[in-house]
Amino acid sequence: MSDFGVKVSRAGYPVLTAADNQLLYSSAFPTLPIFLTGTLSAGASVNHNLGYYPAFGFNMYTTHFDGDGITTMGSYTGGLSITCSTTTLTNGSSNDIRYFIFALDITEDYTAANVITTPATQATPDQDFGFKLSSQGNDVKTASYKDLISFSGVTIAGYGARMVLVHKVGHQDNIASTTTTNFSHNLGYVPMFLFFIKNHSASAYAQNYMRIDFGTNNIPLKVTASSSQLTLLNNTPDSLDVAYVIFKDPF
Amino acid sequence: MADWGMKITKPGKGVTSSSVKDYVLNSKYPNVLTYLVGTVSYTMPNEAKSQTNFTIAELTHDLGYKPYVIFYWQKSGSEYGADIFWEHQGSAPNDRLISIEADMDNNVFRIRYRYDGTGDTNLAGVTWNFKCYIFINKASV
Repeated sequence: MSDFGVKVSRAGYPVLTAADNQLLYSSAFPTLPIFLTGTLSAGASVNHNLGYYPAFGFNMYTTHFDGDGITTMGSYTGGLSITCSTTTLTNGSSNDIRYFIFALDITEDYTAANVITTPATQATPDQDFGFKLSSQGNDVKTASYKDLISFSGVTIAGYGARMVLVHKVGHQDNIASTTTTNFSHNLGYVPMFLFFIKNHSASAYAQNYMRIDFGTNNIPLKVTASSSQLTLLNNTPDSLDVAYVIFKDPF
Repeated sequence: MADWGMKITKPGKGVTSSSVKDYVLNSKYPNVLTYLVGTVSYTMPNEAKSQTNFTIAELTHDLGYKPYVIFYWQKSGSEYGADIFWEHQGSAPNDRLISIEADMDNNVFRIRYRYDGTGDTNLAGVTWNFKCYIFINKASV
């Protein structure tokens, strides 16, 4: 066991042969611990004081469609209004958000090994779970899902829960305007990812995947993925700093 | 040891580290934990332009609260992207705006198609694949 100290597989997968993305977690791979979470009203901010640029996420409820519209990440121009510096997350939008600040430094590059890449066959689990850890103050025997830190059991429709495992963290500064830049990964499949962008002169990142110029109907910025790389199309007039987190989880 | 029950550090880091980012698991801090991952495919009908706002994919989570969610899309076997899709097609006066957006309630996550404009859309027959990650973490506001 030279590669890791602890690993737990998802329900039904043999722990010795489960592929990396079939694990609940492994001490070989970073996860996304939530350092701080809460709601932020439009215009409000919260101090995290981590001293580094953390990965972050948010869900924003808007008036799309019938009033239950959601921006899950940072597309459209609204996403640019959620920014995070080394000390503070700011909701510069006109909507309330639920935010998640993760204890993961997006400017500290990291690449995980591909320990096991061959998928194992999932069997029908003969128990509900092998590992379960509740959050502070909650009884592990009765805690609801939202009060769990980790859980190797089966949730809805037989789905084996898993923690998000980080495969790669990278960043690049001063990406010129009118360029296409690729950020490689060695997973061999299209992964789940987060992408953060700021102007080179700015001090806070936003999460952004597609920027739309509603005046010209052009798309000056777009982030796409493939089985070997993430690609940033920067047709904005600005030089950009970017950071990304690529997970073991596949598309 | 009243603050926590279990902690595991990254390789090479001491378990007594005071830096949160040195841990892969620390019961003081919840993790992003996937509750349901859904893969949904949908092919636009040939009369997509006549349907201006409709649900093309739906995932039932039944958590009783709005959970944290992120989703990714793939358009016709090629381009992969994240979150909302938007495209402008054609030229005025027959141009149109196509968007793929989402909404969430306490039980169901929906991906919706919206069309604004006139003229034919070349999204008819386009196949979309969506990968939706619904987490146990509460995201209500």
